[in-house]
Amino acid sequence: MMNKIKSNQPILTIVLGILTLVAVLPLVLIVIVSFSSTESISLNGFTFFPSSWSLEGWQYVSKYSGQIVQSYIITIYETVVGTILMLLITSMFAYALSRSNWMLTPFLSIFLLITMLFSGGMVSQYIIRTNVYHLKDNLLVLVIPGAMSVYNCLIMRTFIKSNVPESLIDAAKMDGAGEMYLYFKVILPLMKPCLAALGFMAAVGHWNEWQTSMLYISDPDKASLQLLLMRIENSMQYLQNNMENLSIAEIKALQTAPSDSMRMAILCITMGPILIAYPFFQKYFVKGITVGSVKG
Amino acid sequence: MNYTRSMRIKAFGENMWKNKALLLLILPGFVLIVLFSYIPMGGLVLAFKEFNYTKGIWKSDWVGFDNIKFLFMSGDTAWRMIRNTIGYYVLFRVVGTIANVSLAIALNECRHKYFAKFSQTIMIMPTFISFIAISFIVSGLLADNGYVNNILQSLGFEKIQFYIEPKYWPAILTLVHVWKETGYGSVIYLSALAGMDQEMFEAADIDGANRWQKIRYLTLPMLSSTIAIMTLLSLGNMMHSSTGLFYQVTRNIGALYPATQTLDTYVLNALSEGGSTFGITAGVTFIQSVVGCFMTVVVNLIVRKISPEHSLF
Repeated sequence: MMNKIKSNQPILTIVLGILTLVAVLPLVLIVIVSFSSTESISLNGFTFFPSSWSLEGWQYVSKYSGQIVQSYIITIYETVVGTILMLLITSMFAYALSRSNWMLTPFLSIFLLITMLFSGGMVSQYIIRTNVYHLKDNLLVLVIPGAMSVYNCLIMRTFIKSNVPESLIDAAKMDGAGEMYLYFKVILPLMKPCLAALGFMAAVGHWNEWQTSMLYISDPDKASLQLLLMRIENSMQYLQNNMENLSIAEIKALQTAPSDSMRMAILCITMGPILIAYPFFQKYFVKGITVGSVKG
Repeated sequence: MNYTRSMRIKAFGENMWKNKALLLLILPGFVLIVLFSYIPMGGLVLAFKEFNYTKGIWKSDWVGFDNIKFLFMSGDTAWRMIRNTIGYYVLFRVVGTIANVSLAIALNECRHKYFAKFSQTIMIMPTFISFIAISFIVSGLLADNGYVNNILQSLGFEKIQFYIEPKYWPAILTLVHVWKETGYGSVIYLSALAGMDQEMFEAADIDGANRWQKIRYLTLPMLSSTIAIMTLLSLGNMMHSSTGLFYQVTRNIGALYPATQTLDTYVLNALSEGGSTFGITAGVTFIQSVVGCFMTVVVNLIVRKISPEHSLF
């Protein structure tokens, strides 16, 4: 019997190894293409083994560095401010909701539940945010609507209830701790694993966010990295589809520009930080997901 | 009666006053929910109005069910979108669940723990890549001079124009979905496996069960409740689809709409083009909201019967 188990292991390991390669190879391809020369790309297309290497793509990126740095700042602003606001506002709500002897709790539970059952949908959200709140081209639209997450609130509430004994809160109160002191000095430190998991997911969500930017941000100075990537893509398609309207010099510039390797270089800059940060947060995911059994 | 009611009000008031700091804690979240969830719900009336920018939502004229009627009368777009939305939901649920559970079992069975951990780390990575980046990757693979066409050519086949032919896209989108979500999706099943009773497996070993028998008769039945719960909870989102996948990865190309247009991409498209058809688009979101609400309530009734600790309310 032991033999049987052992004999299965190599096959399993090989299968898992292949799946791992499948997961990572597209990302490797991006890095390789970003370092490929333009001739190699136009001759062989995207390939893992380019005929010649070059830094053209990355050099071209540095030409646009002003716009890219600007977009990086917007993305970092959205990620940092959005995540901190979400963790703070949502956990404050969750802590209050976790207090069983508070008479407002049942009402608040229903108040949250209704938002999970029914939503206004994209259209009315859009019209109300632009027409009534005037959030078009306002950087607040990137961080404020997501600052209170009902789903995360219920996860945090469950976490507090199962990890912070009520007797601890009572004891702290006996010693004269006020609610604010209790929340900041006792509850928040105890919530660290939960905050790390939800915070990382929220940060990734903000970093990769494109839909809100696409709908609400039209000022190029306020474009996040993802929106910048979309814009570059669209303008290249536009140029290629309208070749006949361009001057010869423009066509020449377009043909010699290392468009593919440049796009992939920008992609590397965009994906890099998350893929580097992620292994440090991985240990919190399992916890973060398993505390996710939502119950009202 | 009156006496007890006034007593109750007094007790409630005292409780509120005693916990006034808690009121302060919920205030920001409360205001945000009212502003960004409850007030837009009122905006759903737009589905029954002819939207006029100068009049605003509340003062626009009522048109009854005209918007929704128009949606279903004007060609088969509406039916196609609904078919695509629900079809992809079912496809992704079935294929995705099989992939998630298989990967979880494979990782769990792997005796090289460090290797399993490493390959899990790598396989979760695609979850954190934005759909904009993925649309770049997919076009790098499928474009005219892309990776796939290069291989086809070197093998002597004709090139395939993926961005014109809708018929390939159900398979492409499913592959992209599985590639992106499986690593992360398997985590929840893996943690369910970690919590399983090991004694049962030892007993099965003594009875001479082989590996496949143990998976078939012990592991899968134990995972079945997790699978059922995950499937049921997802039903509330049946009318929604990932705009990243269906709008970005398909590059919003009209020729592909027969296989790729869903309700959400229709709405997103209408909004980003800023047309005058807000009423009709609002009709689509109204249908989504009503079906979503109905499904969530029904599903919750079922979940409360079979597994009360997972129910929403």
